[in-house]
Amino acid sequence: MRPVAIFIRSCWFQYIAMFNWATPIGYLSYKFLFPVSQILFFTELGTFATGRSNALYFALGNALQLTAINGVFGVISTVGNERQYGTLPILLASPANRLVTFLGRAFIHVLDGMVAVALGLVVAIVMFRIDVTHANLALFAICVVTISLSTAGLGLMFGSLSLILRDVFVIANTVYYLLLVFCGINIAVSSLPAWA
Amino acid sequence: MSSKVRVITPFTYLGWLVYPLIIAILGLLILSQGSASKSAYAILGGGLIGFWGLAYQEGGNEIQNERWSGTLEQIMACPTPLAVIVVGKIASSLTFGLLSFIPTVLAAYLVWHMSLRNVDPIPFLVSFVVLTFSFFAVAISLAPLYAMWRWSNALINGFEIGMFALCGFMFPVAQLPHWLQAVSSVLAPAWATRSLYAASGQPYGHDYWLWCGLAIAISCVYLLISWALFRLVDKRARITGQLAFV
Repeated sequence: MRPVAIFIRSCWFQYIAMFNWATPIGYLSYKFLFPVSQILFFTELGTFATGRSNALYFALGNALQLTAINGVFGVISTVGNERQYGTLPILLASPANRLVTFLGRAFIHVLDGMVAVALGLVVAIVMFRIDVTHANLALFAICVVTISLSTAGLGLMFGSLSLILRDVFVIANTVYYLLLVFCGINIAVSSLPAWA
Repeated sequence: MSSKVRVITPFTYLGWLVYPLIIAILGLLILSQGSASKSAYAILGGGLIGFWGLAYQEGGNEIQNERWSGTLEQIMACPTPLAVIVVGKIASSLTFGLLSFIPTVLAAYLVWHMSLRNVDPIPFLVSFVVLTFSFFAVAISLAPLYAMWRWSNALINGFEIGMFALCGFMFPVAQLPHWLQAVSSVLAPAWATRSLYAASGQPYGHDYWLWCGLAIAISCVYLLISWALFRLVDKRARITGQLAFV
C-alpha cells in the first residue's frame, strides 16, 4: 500500500502546489467563475448569431471544453512551473521515475477535468434550460473520460516544451483558445474552412 | 521602462496579437453564420477583447509579477507613490492593447472581406477615447486589489471572459438575461462599447453623448474607489509591515 499512498499523496501535493490553487478562492474561481463566464459568453455569442434554438450546441461544447482548464493549463503548469520556480533541475536529477512522476501530475487533472465538465453541465442546464433527459449518459460519460484524457495528453506534450522554452504559459493559453476554434466546440468541424 | 519590458515579454504578444486574433477568427466564423448586419461585432469584437485583456489585467499582473520577483516591497518603499508607478504600467499596457485592432481588423478584411461601412466618424472617435478612459479606470481600480490579496489574480482572471459578455464586446448586452443587464449597467466600458457600436452602424439610436457621459461618470467613481484603495494599501502596509494582507 505504501507506494500507492506515496503516489496519491504526491499527486495531491503536486496538484495544489503547482497549479496555484492552494487557496479555496483560487480553486472556486477556476472551477466556478471561469466556467460560468466561458459558457455564458460563447453561448450568448452563438445564440446571437444563430438563434436560441442552437444554445444546446454552444453550451454543451463549452462545458466539455472545460476539461482543458485542467488538461492544458493544469498539466502544463505542473511542468512549466518547475522551470519558473527553478526546481526543474532538481526534479530531473532526482532518482524518481520520470514517467510515473509526470503521469502522476496529469492523474488528478484528468479526474478534476471530469468534475469541471459536470459543473459546466449544471451551469448550462440552469442558465440555458437545456434538456438532457434524452441524452445517452453512458456514451456521454465515455466521451468525457476520453476528452479529459486527451486534453491531459496535450498538456503533457506541450508542457514538455518548457524544457526548451522560457515561458510555456503562452503556449498553454494559445492551445486552450485554439481548441475553441478547431475542435467543434463553437463551430462544427464540417463548417470550418477546408484548411482548418 | 514598462514598455521596454513588454517588448521582450512573450505574454504581451499573446495579449495583443495571438489571443485577439483567435477570438476574432472565432467571432468571425460564428457571426458570419448570421446576418451581415452583425459584422461590426465580428470586426471590432476581437480587437476590443484584446485591448480589454491587456488593460483589465496587466496593471494588476504587474503588481503580481513584482510580488513574485520579490520587488513589490521595494517599489512600495521608493519615494514615487505606488499609484504613479501603476499608472505608468497601465498606460503602457493600453498602448500595446491598441495594437490588438491591427490583426483583427486585417483578418476580417483580408479573409472575410468585411469592413466597417456605416461609421459615424466623430462619435466613433469620441466613443473610442471614452472607452480607453473607462478601461484605464477599471485597470487602476483593480490594481490595488492585487497588492491587498494574493488570490485577487485568480478571481479577476476567472472572470475575464464574463466581462466580455457583460461589456457587450461581441454581442449586445440586451442579449443577456435582465439581471445580468442590471450588472452590466454599472460597468463603464459597457456604455462606451454601446456608443462605439452605435457609431459603427448598429441600431441602438444616437444617444452617444448620454452613453459617453455615463461611461465617464462611472469611470470617475472607479477612480475615486481606486484612490481610496491605494491609500488603504499604503496605510495597511505601513501598519502591518507586509503587503499581502490576506
